[in-house]
Amino acid sequence: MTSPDAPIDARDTHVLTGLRDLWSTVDPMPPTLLDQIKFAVDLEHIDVEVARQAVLEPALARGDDEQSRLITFDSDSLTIMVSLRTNQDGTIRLDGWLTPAGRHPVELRTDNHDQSTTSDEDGRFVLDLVQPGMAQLVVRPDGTTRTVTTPTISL
Amino acid sequence: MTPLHHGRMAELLQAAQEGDPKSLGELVDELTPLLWQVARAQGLDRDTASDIVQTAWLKLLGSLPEIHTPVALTSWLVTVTRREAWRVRNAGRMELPARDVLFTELPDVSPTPEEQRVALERRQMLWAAVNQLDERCRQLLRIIAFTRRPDYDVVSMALGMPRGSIGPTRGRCLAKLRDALDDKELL
Repeated sequence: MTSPDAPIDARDTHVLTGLRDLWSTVDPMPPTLLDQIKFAVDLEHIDVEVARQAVLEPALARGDDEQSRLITFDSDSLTIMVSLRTNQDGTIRLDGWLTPAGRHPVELRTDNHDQSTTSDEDGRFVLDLVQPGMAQLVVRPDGTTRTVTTPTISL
Repeated sequence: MTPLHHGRMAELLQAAQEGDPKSLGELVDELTPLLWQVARAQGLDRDTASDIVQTAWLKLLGSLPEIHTPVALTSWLVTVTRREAWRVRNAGRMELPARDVLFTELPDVSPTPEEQRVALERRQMLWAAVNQLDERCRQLLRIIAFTRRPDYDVVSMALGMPRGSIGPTRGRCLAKLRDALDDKELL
């Protein structure tokens, strides 16, 4: 029997390396995860509030037709709803709605180029002709120093 | 884990605090595999686990100036990942922790070279030995396997184990696993 009190030795290290290899094989990180994180944290603002994807009923998430996706991001101070639709030329149109409503600067960071706009009084905004790829929505609610950001998503 | 490595982590941390994105990126490479296992060990599906791990890194941006050591950094990230995972789990978005099921996802190995077949057999035997352990041991070793040694205690604490029991629990779990492997004359 192996004593549980023995300090960690070379064989323990070997076993732990085997375990790491095992878990990396049976449950690997998604291949895009590291790039998504690096893209997400490369922000100018550090006082960020993270809006995470909320749970949606599959039927609701599917939208009106197969071409559209509906995603909701929730944070403590802001909810961002976006509807994504693929244009005929392969670019993407993003219709967004912020709650609480108001005119807020909105930025879409992508790995190609960034787009920005401002929501209207009802909190609605549109970003069109977006190239597919990694993207992150950043909202700077007026009158606050905080920046609300979503995680990186794939468009 | 050598002091050299610890020193390198400290350098990266300081550079990241000074706003160097490349250093922050290296820390992401270093610590994300651990955070992924922490999230998945909580029973989250893959999409949710990705989301949670990203969230932990984004939240770190605001707290980075107050974190002074690599050990504190690891502890902070593990704690936030676990807390976020709990929040999501309580909101009802989870699947059962996968066990034997995972191996059904491995590709058929019959046409692959001998080396790969042997490696797979070793993994399957290790897997069988791991499955003889109780849940607490499996969880602990899964996390420890992705952790550098100076971080063992903080990680175990972040996983909710009383400080005094961490060493003995780790020792007990490793000893059990080694005995199970000895039975199979493996490793």
